[in-house]
Amino acid sequence: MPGLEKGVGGTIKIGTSQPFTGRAAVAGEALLGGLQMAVDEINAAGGIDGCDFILAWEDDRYEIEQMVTNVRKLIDVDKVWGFVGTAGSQAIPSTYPAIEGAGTPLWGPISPANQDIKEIYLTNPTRTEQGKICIDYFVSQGAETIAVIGQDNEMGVEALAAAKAQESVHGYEIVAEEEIEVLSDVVAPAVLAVIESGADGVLTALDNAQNGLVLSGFHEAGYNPLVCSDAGSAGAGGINTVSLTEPEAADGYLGALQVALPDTDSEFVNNWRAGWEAYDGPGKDGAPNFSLQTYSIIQAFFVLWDRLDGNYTYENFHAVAETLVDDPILIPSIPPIACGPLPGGHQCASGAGVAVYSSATESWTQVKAFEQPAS
Amino acid sequence: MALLEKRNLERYRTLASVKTNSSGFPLYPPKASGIKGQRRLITSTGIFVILAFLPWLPILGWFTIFNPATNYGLGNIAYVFAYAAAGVGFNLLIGYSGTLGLAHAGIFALGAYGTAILSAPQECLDYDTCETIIRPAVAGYGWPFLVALPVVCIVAALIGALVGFPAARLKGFYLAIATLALGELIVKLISLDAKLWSGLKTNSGTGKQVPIFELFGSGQLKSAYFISLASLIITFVAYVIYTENRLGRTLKAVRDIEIATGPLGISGTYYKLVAFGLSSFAAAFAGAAWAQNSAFVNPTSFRTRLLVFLLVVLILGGLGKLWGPLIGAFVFVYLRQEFQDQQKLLFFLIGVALMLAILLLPEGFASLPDRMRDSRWVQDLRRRFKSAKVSS
Amino acid sequence: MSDLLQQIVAGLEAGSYYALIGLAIVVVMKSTDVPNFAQAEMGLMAAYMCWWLADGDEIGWPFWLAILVGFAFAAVFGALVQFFLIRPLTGLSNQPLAILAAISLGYALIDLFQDNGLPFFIDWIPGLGGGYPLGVSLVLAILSVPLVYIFMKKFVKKMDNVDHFPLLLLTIGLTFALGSLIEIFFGNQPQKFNTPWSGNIFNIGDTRIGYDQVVSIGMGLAIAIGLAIFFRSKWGVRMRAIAEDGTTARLLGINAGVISLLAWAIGGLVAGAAMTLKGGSTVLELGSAEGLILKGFIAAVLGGFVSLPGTFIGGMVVGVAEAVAGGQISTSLQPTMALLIVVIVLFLYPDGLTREAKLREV
Repeated sequence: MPGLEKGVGGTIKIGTSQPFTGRAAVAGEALLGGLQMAVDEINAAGGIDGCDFILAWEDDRYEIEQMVTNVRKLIDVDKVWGFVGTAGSQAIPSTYPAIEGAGTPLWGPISPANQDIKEIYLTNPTRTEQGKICIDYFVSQGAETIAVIGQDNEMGVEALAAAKAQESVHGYEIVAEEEIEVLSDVVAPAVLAVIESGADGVLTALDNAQNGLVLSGFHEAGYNPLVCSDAGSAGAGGINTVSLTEPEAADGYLGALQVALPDTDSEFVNNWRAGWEAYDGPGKDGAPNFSLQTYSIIQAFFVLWDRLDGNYTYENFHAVAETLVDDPILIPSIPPIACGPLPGGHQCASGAGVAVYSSATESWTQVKAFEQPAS
Repeated sequence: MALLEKRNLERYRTLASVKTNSSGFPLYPPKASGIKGQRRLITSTGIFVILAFLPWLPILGWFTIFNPATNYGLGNIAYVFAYAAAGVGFNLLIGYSGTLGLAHAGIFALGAYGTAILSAPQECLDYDTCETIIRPAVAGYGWPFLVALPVVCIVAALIGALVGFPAARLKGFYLAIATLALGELIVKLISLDAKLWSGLKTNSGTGKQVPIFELFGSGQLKSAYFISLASLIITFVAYVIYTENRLGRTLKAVRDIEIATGPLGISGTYYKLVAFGLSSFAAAFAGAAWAQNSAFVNPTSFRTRLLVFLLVVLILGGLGKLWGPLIGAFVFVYLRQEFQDQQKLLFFLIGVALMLAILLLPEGFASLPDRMRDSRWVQDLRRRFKSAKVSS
Repeated sequence: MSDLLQQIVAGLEAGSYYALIGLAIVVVMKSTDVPNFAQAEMGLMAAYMCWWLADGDEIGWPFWLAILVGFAFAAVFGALVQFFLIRPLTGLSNQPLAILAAISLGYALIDLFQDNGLPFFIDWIPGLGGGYPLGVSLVLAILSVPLVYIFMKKFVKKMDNVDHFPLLLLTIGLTFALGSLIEIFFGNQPQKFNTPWSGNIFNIGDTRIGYDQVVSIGMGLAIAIGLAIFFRSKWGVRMRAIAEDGTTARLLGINAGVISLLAWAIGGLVAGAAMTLKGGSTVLELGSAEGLILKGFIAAVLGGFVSLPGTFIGGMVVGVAEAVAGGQISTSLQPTMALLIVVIVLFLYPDGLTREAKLREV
């Protein structure tokens, strides 16, 4: 389906596949909730240029097979116009043939991204970028030795890549590179190895439970490095990770930020918060920080939709989207969305922030605004 | 324990009933002659011909999940074929020879990864300067797919036989756990790429983009469909050949390779190795077909969960039955898609469906015809029909 | 050196979980000949129950009361699973299953009829589609109860002589269903289970040992010893008799039904203890069972599936080897250790580690 005709509006179906159940459900539920909430909101406000939206969503349980099946179903059976916020990024490459075949644009947080695909627009900083920001922060606090603990999958590889990339920029030493198996709670060997290395800064790329255990392990040993994780794994803005360890252990924990903190006092975030508290649809029990993320992304999409001026063909979409670099979409809670032409231009947003958790106030505070990694 | 002994006793009795000729050499159960023996061949060929033309036949249009007119339906059917092909190999090992080799998921992964790596375009020749994550995901050795596929399958068969060799000394659960561990080890080795030898190009744990092979330029889905169907047909043929020889027919009666071969003076080890090799060939081919369908491979797809799904497919369909894996695969994929909308309840419903299926049909769906034939009221009907014929 | 000691302690802790799950598997296997793939998941349910009673939002019971009730729940749940699900396939009555199925289906059908009317394959008959009012739904559901009962009673055949595979698949189905239920009732957020000894550590020289580690290892040992004692007692001997030769045992008047219930109750209790200890010491999360069940089977195999001490030692060895190899060599090696151990041990000792081990054919 080559997009809609010029001037034809009506009901636009947007598709998304989320890990609504399964091991990424903690994030998946809220990721979906944020999207649905935004769609409900925009419809209640009268839509855009005479278009109202329907969100067609499927649960992929974070499995490749299910995700590719979902995308095919959404394209063939539900006949969606495009995809927004589709998560499960480790499996997204499986959907490339389907997406390229149908030409449906995909607008969302993907890490890592294949930047050669015309249809894909990455709206979030990659995990590697977030890792680099964490490390820049470590260095700014005087760290000279860095350790990395990652899962034995893409998260670990991306974290390590970040550490290696910034090594030549800042001149620190990587003293430990440890791995923890996915789904495993046996963190002791990795933790002990890092404690022994005595690193000043530790970058972790684990799931929430493992992060909590690592923090506990460090605390028990009386070892107090700076510890930072990417936004999802730190659960920055929420209690996903910090509730899993003793308050003293979680104090000072750092998380990269892809999106503003949920308790930020700004008009945009306050508006989101009011809507989220009233929201009663699927995913309402999810962690708020993820909801704000997809809410912000789809708002950017709506702004872009408005700029299409009634011409909803795919060519026009790409044409307008690729000029964003000259006139970025500014959503207050995320870095500017400035997509450009290929190659490389579909990495639309870059830059991340850093937040720190204080167990005294049981809240997160942003300590570094969105910025690009040092290079 | 008592159950085991009773079963063994039955098996020995069956074996004792195998006829022998005058000098005491056993005569194997004869092949069914005439049209009856060919019946199976005709039905099988018929079914596969229909499946081959399915993308163009309008018969399944009403069945959304398996509607071949959509990529969605075609993809689902292709997954069914891939699971069924792996299941046929699995059936050979477990259902037929009674050898509990559970390394299947690992060999499946080998097939998927192997074909993906070998047929991926050559890039990143200097791995260290290559842009991490993205380019290694697509880099490989640049072989043509149709060369990579048989090579990978044969290598997998050899590895399978290698796994089987010391495993021939193990029995029952020991064999099961040992092979299960070996299968998991294979998957773990795939993730250890960067530490072992980055020349493996498996991209460590981060997944590999599968270069899509287009059969006659017919598009990804149709190609995946036909490759999956081919894998099913070939493994099916291998299964039939393995099971229709003389030893195979004895095995059918006795269902345990130890007992069939021991007293008959044939090396059970040899047949076990062949079974391991053939089933691994099947698993690798099925894995390659699965990879063409999924377009992306990642070690997490091949964990024990996959083995569990394969076991479900096999046992649900019917262990040791020819059509078991295909039926089981259809049911499983259907259930998974049908209950998609239930999200959290999905696995609950699948679990309950599985339990019900096993309680009602412990021998699998493929045993339904036999169950019906053996059930009392069908036999009643038959008796009445016969007496009606006699009296008329 | 203290590092090695540290790793060993961590390994002993992890090993005690593997050992306990292995012990539960062996107890159930020894007495009822069922390879229970759902053992860890059943334990996880009990662990979540303990957590919910103690730390959960509404209920704030004292820790020990929660543990007591939770463990009791574990035992009862294990017995119930045996009573309803396993019995038909092991040659005993299928009546409880028929009753359970009839009533639960009837209950579920009320909602279904209210929302959807008849199932899709019937509702193309005009007039039969769509939802029904409560009264009609109730009548239809109640009518279905005896139908389902009769159906189940007739068609779920009491198999005297069933292979391990159907039983394995039954427990696989149970694993799926339980995992789903746990997610629905307890949510998918990992939880911290606070125990009275959480977070406290003491030092032996340079080595830090957490109280929770001591509790886990100690409880593991205690349970293993308790089981060994039990199996020498009157009931334990009966259990072993049923396992060795069921027919003779039954002739001697040993009630196989009661023994099976008891065995599954014990298995459930031990698995529940394992998952609760693990949850208290690390985190309580949905995926814990999936990883542990394989390690539990590995421990059981190392004990030859019959020897309790062998299973316990096997589990401990796996845990320690994992931790030490992960620490001394490389953390990337850690997940492979358990697998390597079982492969090497089995290839060297095809008949299992302990003298008592017999060849088990399937």
